[in-house]
Amino acid sequence: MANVTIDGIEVEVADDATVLEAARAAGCDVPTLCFDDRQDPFGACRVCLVGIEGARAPLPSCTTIVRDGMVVDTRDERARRIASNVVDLVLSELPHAPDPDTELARVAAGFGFGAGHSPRWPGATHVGLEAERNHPYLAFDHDMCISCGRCVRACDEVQGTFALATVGRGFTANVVAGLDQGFRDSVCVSCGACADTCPTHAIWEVA
Amino acid sequence: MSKNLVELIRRHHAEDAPSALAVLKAAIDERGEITDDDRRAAAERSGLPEATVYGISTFYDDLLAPRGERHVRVCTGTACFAATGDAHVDAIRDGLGLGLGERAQDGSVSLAETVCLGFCHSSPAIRVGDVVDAGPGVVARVLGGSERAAPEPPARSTLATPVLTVRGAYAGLRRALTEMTPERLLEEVKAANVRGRGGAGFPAGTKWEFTRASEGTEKFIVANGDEGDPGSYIDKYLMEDNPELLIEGLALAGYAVGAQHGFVLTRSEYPRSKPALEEAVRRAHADGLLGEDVLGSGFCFDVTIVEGAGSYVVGEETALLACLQGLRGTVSARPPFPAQRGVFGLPTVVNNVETLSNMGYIAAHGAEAYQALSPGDTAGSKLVCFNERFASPGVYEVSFGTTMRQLCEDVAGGLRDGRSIKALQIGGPLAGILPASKLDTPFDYDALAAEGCMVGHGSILAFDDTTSMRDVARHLLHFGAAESCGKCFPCRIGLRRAHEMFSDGAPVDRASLEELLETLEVGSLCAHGSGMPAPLRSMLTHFPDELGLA
Amino acid sequence: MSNTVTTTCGYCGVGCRLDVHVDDDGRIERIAPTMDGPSNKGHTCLKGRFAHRFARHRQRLTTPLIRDVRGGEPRPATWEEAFDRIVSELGRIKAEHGPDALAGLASSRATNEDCYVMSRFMRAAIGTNNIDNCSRVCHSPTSYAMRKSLGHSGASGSFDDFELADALIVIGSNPTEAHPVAGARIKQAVIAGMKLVTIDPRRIELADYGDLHLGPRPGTNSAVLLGLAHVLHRDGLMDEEFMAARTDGWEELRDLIDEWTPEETERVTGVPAADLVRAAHIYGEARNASIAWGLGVTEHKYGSEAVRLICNLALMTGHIGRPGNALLPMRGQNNVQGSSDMGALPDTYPMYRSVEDESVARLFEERYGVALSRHKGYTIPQMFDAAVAGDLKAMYIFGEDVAQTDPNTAHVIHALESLEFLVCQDIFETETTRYADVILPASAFLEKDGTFINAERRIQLVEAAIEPPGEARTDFAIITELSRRMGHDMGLETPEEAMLEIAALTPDLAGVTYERLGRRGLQWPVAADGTDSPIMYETEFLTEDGRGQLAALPYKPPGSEASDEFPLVLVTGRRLQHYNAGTMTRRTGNLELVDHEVLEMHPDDAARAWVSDGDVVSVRSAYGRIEVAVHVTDRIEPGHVFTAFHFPEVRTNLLVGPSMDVNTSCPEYKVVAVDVRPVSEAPAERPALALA
Repeated sequence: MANVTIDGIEVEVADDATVLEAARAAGCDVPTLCFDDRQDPFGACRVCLVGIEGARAPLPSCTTIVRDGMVVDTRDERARRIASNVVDLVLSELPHAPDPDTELARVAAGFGFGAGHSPRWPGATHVGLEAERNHPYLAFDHDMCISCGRCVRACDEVQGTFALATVGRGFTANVVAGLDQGFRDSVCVSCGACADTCPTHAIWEVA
Repeated sequence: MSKNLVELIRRHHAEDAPSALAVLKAAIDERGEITDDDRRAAAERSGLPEATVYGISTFYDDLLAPRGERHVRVCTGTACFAATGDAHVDAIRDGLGLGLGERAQDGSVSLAETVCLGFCHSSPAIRVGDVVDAGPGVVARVLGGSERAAPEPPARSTLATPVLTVRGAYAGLRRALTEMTPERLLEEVKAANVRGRGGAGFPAGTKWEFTRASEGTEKFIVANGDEGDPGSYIDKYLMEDNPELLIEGLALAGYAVGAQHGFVLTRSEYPRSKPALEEAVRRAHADGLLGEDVLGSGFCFDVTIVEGAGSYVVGEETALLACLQGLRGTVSARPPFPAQRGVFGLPTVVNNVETLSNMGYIAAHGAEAYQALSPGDTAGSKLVCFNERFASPGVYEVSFGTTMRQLCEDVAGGLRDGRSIKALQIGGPLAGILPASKLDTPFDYDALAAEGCMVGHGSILAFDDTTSMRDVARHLLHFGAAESCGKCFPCRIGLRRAHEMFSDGAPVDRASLEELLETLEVGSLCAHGSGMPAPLRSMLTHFPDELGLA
Repeated sequence: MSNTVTTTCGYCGVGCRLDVHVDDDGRIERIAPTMDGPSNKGHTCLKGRFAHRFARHRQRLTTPLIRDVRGGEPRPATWEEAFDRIVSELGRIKAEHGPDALAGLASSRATNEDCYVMSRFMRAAIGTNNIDNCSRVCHSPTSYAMRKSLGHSGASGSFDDFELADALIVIGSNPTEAHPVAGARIKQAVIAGMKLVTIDPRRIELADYGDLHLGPRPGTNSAVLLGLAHVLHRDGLMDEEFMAARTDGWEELRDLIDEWTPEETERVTGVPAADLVRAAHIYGEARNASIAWGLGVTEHKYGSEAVRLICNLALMTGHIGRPGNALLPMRGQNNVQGSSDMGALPDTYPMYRSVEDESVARLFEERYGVALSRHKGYTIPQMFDAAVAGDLKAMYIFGEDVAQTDPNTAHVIHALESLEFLVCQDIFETETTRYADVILPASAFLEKDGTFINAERRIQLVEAAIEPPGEARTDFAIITELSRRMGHDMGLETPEEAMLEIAALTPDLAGVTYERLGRRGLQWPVAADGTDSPIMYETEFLTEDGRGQLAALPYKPPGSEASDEFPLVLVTGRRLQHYNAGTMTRRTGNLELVDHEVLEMHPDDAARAWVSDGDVVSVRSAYGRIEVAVHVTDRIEPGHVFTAFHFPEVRTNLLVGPSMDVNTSCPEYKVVAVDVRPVSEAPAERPALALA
């Protein structure tokens, strides 16, 4: 077991626990976008950055393993500022603001980005990608995808159907089902785990 | 990297299934484009899900551009940019009447962009099929259908006892297998304090030790031959013209770590590498230096050569492992480190080609002799290479501690055509830029780091006095954004935004740029996103007036 | 604003915990898996998550219906009128023919409390043990066999054992379609390194990830299991210490398995001898190994004997009573386990205590305040036989579509038509309600409170998220009200009170309270202090002498075999997108995903029959004929064909004969000799829904 201090609160966690787990054990809220309890940590969104005593720079709490005696500051100025910049960047790639009931909107609000926020680094957005609407339960607005990989991992690590994959690279990375066939014509089993985990409602349950 | 997909790959590999990437590469080589039928076939043969294969087929440059009967790839690397300011790109585009990534209607010819063919000594370079032509007149020759293979200067050494520029003869492997236990070899390598030559400078002996200590009987050695840094052609020389050193290094690593198999991941931009290595492997087998019972010692080791498909980030070790297994070359968070979970989820050493090429000398002559190759604290020698702007470009073996001025002026003969150095990019695009005023900085890890630069791969790329630094910034950010693997948010979006800031003539807000650079530096998952700001930082320090700042 | 209700899924036996989000107008917004659900851990399938719109389908029964004339159209009626009719008819028949002329069916889809009050209604208000439930036609052989071999009827372990096992055998079960969340958990475990042997005439999806697939001829499971036992013995893979300390019957079993060499097993089953040996070694050499099975084992003439032979394997190797060493029957419907546990069976009170046991009967008589019958009632097939014979005059069928799902459909319909009075209590009109005199509008699982018990013996709370539509009522309210009107006031106002009564009368459930069930439920037996039992048989079995009973039961051929006239063997099963008779899933978007039935056929057989993919064929057995489109696939072994029974247009069960398990009367759905031929014209269409 490792003793870790998070924002002044001491907690005892397993030796292989992540800083994020330790922070949660201490009751400290660390925002995340690519993290899902049902999946292995991914380390893509970098919104869970925290300050760690002795480290050169803030580190992502989801993929950093605790050390005995570690002192963590989840409110570290630089960590919060960089995380906030990342969320700002994420908002800037979307053609419109996320629905208020999405995880992204909640995380953004936590950084003070509400409705009407104009991005600090404006630029190209994901527009013109065709939406999928031919499934009785699932719809996919590709232009709202932030490539967090949660849907792909839900299909892989939870459901085991492997119907989804990340495609493209860099800024244009996105997600497709099967050979870009959509949910209906791919091997998708319609379990909905992707919609369940999507933080932006790019994949959403048709009401 | 998906544990499940890696496990599926492990199982299918055990039954000799090809990787999905290999099937897709073969398909586009054969038919010039990839169809859904090819993807289905790749899924079927590799044992990977169809969606996964789709993802792979949309990641690598080689799989994206359709190919005509003549497939022309124009190099847009930094050395070619430094030579022509991209005029050769415009010329070939206009000459063929095709945009980058386009194929003529009749299928006769196609044009694609490629980032660094490793002919930086003779820029600009253009590849037609597997023939790389370079140097003055290249565009006209290619347009006229008379391209020819460009010559490559031989590697030279400034050392009294060259290590990396003499043909390998397996003396180190012979000695290790007859006189040394694996533990003894490991101790020798640790004592030699070989720092990784791929850029990060991590001690190779420590990596070996971690992997040796990992549980499991099946382990692997991987040589990172994905020398993607534009301007660098050092590993290219080692793989193509001196492959014995690398194979010897792989076998030594295997012996020390307890691995039975090595892989080399080569670049598809270097079409000669894979055949050259495979030929060397075949010779080594014939000579009893690889195989079931190496030199009668009971040690078993074999080497497989795998070619990539065009992605800079694949040079990062986790992305390299993904590519080696035929997956998308995206970066994975560590832990787990390759020493714990590497190829097929098993303990793996990943070393750079040059790093491994040093091991034969260490095994043959010992750590002390190796330490003595350079005067200062840094052990061993280093290969460097110079771009076409220099009077005598090529690969040179040098000692650490030599000043940059000595290297540029004494070794490479200064710039050609009476031009003068404006700045140097040393060790690739993830390192800072050294202005001419700092040429007395020694070529060494710590000294360069103090100037925001690094040894990196060892490429030394000069921008001459005619170069616009704003154009350099735009060139580098275009490269950075295009090569981002797309996994972590800061790099995926941030590099795109940074490039956008420089893409038109508009003034760049300095505060905003610096905040973005810090976000990239702190937030990025790998050295691509965290390193791309380095040259920008240098330019902000040394050439603020040229950047068009607001 | 929305309100969230946490309940338990009403589809399969996995028992996913679900968060149902309900809007201010009382409509379901969406359903999401509960993160702390013990069996689903934040996951669920398309049925649990999406297929809830049937609950508000326009065809829901919203008012009682009465048929004034047999075969006529039913008319809406008031509850008062409906109850009066039922009370008077049941009363008349009881008075004229005695209580044993009446029978009731409880439902494996209903709650424990519903099933309990239904049993109490039949036993105390009517006075008969003629009560059964639809687990009769699926897992009754499992229940019977596990009680004989191990002492109790239920999984010996938990779904968590999938992650703890080093090896797993899945036999006669297709979890990725029929139990998707358990299937997903198995798949993850297999990719993570658990060894898997699948045994099924179809090459099921899990076989693609497993180490070994055995495809025995339908009906030869017992031979495979005897062959495995032979190899375990021959190759020294038994845990002899465990066997000596904790089992009986080895000598007889040893003599029996002696002849079941791999070669002999191959002759009978078609499974290559080498594969059989490998399978035995995978199971026998694993430190921790489990076995899961489904209706592919039970729905056979000797299904209960095959289950006992499965238990043998665990007893021979000591793969029981420890983490990772479970015997896991994959229960088909959500409450197959609970409906039987609650005593909705003709021979037992809750937790399998015999109706012939004087002390038990007294206990219930004392509580109910009436005299109770001491003799066993009819099983479901016996009910139909008795109805045709004229001995059974009335039935009360609750939540089951026997005319669609039960075998030998023609015989079932004849039985229903022979009754003097039939009450159906359901949420939709079904094939069965066509024969009902009174149809009562009941409630779906989303509309009721109570508990279900999943396939790992976990009792989990069910909480109403929405109101029943129109005048529909909860099953619990209907049955307790009817009982009161029949003169037996149970005095139970809520399902929770019923559970307290069950707990008070049942030592194995002594500590069960709704409060203790909480979010994660309890796995029975539950001691008075609330301690539950994730693992059973850790130190002793619950048989009379506390020892596991090895069963020396010889292989016998199935009741139906391919012949010159019927050269192919039909196996029936379930598809992912649909559930059972399809009553619910066909009224959801799932119908868009799969809107018709197909007959799966091997390419060789298809070529021989001159049919190709998509052709409509006539499938004929000794009992009936259906028409269905063909899907040609090499997932099925040559000589076999497969289809499901989700669509009334394709009344698959017309083909299934009267053959049934020798011990439990569970029908032999899994082996039907058929002949398949092309038909030139389109199939005779019937509307998808009886009265659409």
